[in-house]
Amino acid sequence: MNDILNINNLCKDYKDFKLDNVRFSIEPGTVMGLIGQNGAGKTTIIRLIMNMIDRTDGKITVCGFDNIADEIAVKNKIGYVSDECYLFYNSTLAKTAQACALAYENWDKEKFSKLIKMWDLPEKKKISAFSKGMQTKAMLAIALSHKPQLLILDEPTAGLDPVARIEILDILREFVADGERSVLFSTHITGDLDKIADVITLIIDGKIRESMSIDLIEDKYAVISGANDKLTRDNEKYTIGIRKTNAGFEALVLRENLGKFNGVSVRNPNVENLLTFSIWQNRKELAV
Amino acid sequence: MTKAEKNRLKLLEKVTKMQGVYGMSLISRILIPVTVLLIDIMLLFAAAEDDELYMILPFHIFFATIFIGTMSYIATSYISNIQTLTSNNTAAMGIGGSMNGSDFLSTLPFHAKDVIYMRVKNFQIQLFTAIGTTIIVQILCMLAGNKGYTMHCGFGGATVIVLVIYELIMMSTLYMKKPVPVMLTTAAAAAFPVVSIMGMASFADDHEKSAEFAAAVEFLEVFAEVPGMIFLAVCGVAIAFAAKKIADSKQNVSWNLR
Repeated sequence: MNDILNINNLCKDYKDFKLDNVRFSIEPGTVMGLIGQNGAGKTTIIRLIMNMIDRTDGKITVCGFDNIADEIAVKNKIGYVSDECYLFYNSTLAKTAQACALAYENWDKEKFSKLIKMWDLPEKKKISAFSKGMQTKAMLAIALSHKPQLLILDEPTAGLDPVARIEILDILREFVADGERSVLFSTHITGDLDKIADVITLIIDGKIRESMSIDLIEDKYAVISGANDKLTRDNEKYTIGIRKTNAGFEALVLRENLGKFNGVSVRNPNVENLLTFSIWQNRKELAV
Repeated sequence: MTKAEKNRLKLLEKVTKMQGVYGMSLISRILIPVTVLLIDIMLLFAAAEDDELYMILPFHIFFATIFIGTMSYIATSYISNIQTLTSNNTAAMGIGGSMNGSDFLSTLPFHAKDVIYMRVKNFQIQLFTAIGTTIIVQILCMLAGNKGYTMHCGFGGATVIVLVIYELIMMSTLYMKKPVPVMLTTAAAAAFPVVSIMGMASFADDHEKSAEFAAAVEFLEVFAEVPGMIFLAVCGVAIAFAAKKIADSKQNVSWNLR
């Protein structure tokens, strides 16, 4: 089956940052969680997919279409929600919908009306007067109403109340349920990804560290914890990120290396563990 | 350009207008400098009738500074947009410095180059409106017949020259796809007060002088000398840098997001 999104050798050079040979793909019917610390390159990847910034090198295809050569076709296939509201603040939702109806090939007016009614979004009120949650819902309503194949969400649930967050996660689940559409979901709220993501892509300092099925995280990694005397110079090098306190240590390790540690507790990692320990490991490597 | 491309561009223009980009830009970017300029000129009219130009000199400098600052802000934010466009980004440049909304256009199914074209066009409309207004005001000054008003030709002439220079720099940058050297912008900004005050001083020199007026002229003439001009040039550079800093601080927030 053809990938919904395919990114190959993607590079972007800034003065103080480099996105380095990023490659990953999203299969139909999949929710991919893009995780990484602030400034790791998540939004750069998303803006490159949207052709909002120039890439230095590489190739991006959406449903087989090149995102630059076939930009119009690609943008018709993408629904985009950003962390900051990108809609015209001085405009109203009604006017924005009119503009979208003109621009998109498959604009579904009825679906848009249904969504804004469900979320109690006022059509005639200026978008600048919307709360953060309302702005996110407005962007999502627009993103869903032109029947995209790929939904790209950049930190959509940050700043939302729990009910709105759960509602949005339900919508994403529904969106991929037919197995033909996909979601790329960048977030810091890793709990959301535990709930809905099928695949996790971890990016650190512009490089992809891991891109794998969420189910395989537990097969590949483990979190160990114990007293500090259980940690030796020999076995510490097998940790992938470690957190030490006076009370003891906690570390992420490959399951295949569990035998190097004696007398420690072992538990399954979640997405947050993968993220935080990988960041600590990266800091340690940079310090060396 | 094919018919389909032309239609797409028309559609983009319609979408842009529908979103109220022109209205927002006109209010924030044109009305302020034009209003300030008009207040300044009304003051000059009133003062020149009584040969008491020196009385309003501080106000004139104040208003002229706001005018120059606003125009510099417009021009530098525009240049920043194009610099970013040419060095890093394609579509991620603001309309009138506003990132809200400019990103919206980039998400819609249009070519990035067309979105850029539309944004540049929007900015050009603002700049040319400012230039046009200035020219009209200057013609009115000259038609008024009083010798006191003609000195404002220096002021208006300088405005037009500076704006045209800005425009040329921006356009050449866009087509050459190279970032604009900041010094070119600052030099253009510096030229403005120099020419303006020189024009004022040359008028004052010909005028029948009262003692106070002569003192004002003497003061003004300092700026027509080399050290005074250097001082003004430095002030112009400072204004341009400050304007660029403001423009950058507002826009880099979005541009540098990863």
